Amino acid sequence: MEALNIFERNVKWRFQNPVTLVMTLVQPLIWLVIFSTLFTGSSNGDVGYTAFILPGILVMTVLSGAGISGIATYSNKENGSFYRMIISPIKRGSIVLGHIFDAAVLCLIESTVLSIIAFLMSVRIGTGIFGLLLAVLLLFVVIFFVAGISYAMSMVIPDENAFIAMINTLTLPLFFLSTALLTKDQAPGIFKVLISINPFTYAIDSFRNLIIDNSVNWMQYGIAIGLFTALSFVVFTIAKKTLHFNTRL
Amino acid sequence: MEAIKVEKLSKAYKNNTQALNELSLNVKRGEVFTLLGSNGAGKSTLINILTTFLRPTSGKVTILGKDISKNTKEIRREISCVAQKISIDSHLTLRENMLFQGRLYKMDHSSMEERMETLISSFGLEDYTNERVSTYSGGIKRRLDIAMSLMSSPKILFLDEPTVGMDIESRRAMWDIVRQVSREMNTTVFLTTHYLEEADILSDTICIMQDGHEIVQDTPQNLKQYTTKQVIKQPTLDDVFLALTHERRS
Repeated sequence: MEALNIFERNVKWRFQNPVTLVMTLVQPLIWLVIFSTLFTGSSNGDVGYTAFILPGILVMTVLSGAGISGIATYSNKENGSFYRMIISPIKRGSIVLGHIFDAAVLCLIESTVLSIIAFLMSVRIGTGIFGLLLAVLLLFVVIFFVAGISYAMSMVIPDENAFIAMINTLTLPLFFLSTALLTKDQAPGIFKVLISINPFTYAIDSFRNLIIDNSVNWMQYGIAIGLFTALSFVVFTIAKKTLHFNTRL
Repeated sequence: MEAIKVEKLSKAYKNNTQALNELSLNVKRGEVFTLLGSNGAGKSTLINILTTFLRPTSGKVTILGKDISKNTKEIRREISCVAQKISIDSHLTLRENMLFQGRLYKMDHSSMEERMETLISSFGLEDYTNERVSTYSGGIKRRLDIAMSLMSSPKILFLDEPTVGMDIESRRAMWDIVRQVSREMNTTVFLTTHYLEEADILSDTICIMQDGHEIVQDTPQNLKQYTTKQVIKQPTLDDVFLALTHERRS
């Protein structure tokens, strides 16, 4: 209930400022429409490159949308609403959750737009409606993890510009050092190791299975959702702690 | 029982700035207490500690009989603060802002509605209820800011320099609001200001502070005695303030 109050407030701001939605959608959209068309034929077998690249683009959307979501903390501090919330008896965890749910709405809307465009480009989900539901659940857990990190970072980094620079620095390597653009087997030497230790690789592989294949690879899905649930739990705890310690200096 | 008791409170920031230096003061229940000091005296730091936003380096704070370091959550339910800068959400309407505030304090829906109507009427905000806050004038925003802070019926209301930058007419309107909050709503008011006239008119008790430490705490009337012992025949609070702060510096 407490988290819903924060969420409702944040989401109202979001819908009155749709530019935040559009801006974080531009880059994934370019990748989906231009690059997937440009590189068609470079993927494995009969699968179109658009279907192959879509999972990576969904993760890119989460990395940019939920990754930058912590920036709201700076405007909340500036306009005083952060102080108003902190001195109220609300649980610190509810403040973090309200933030994460707002980022989830943003990313799920963007992912829906991208998926509809991919559908128009002849991409179909091999595992059907059930696979789609599994994908949404996995996407939510990935968003939770990224938005949680973003919130914790916004508590620790005092300057807004430094925060943006840090997010941009982290986003690109996490995207390129994953299986977003090519499979692990296609990657050369040391990159195979780096791709293996990037948790987003497991989410992308599982999304790819749900989109391209005709049956769910439960082992792959279990690893991905288990990994991100565990990471989300850790990050949520860290975000709560950073909020607590940075407001009781 | 005192509303607030502060004992030898110190606060040093990470950059070694000593904002508060063994400050002690007492605020009685139901009174308007004014903390008077020039810029940088430590007023805002003290308010931030008393509203549970900052943790002191040393010293003890008791609010409504409870230790602030041990009963933070209980104390948060009983207090509210109007910050120096207006802190309302401009993307919400007046009603949405007030409901948001009520939910922060876990008020149930019917209590929120009832309280909101009372405050809207008390603060003359009837004409603005469904408009986006971004369209309001500064004065209306400030009234809403205070009304929001009173949603939870706090026992203590902190006002951190609420009239700074206001013209004299708006400032007088604000004084009426402070009196109304104190008398009609039975709320202890803890006010910080550097306007001496304001402190003189509104306060039951004034504490003058400088360099993070209290110099004197007394009623406005008694404070004026401090200078009659000296040269000035009919001193204003300005004379008292200047005399005391100058005496301490020299």
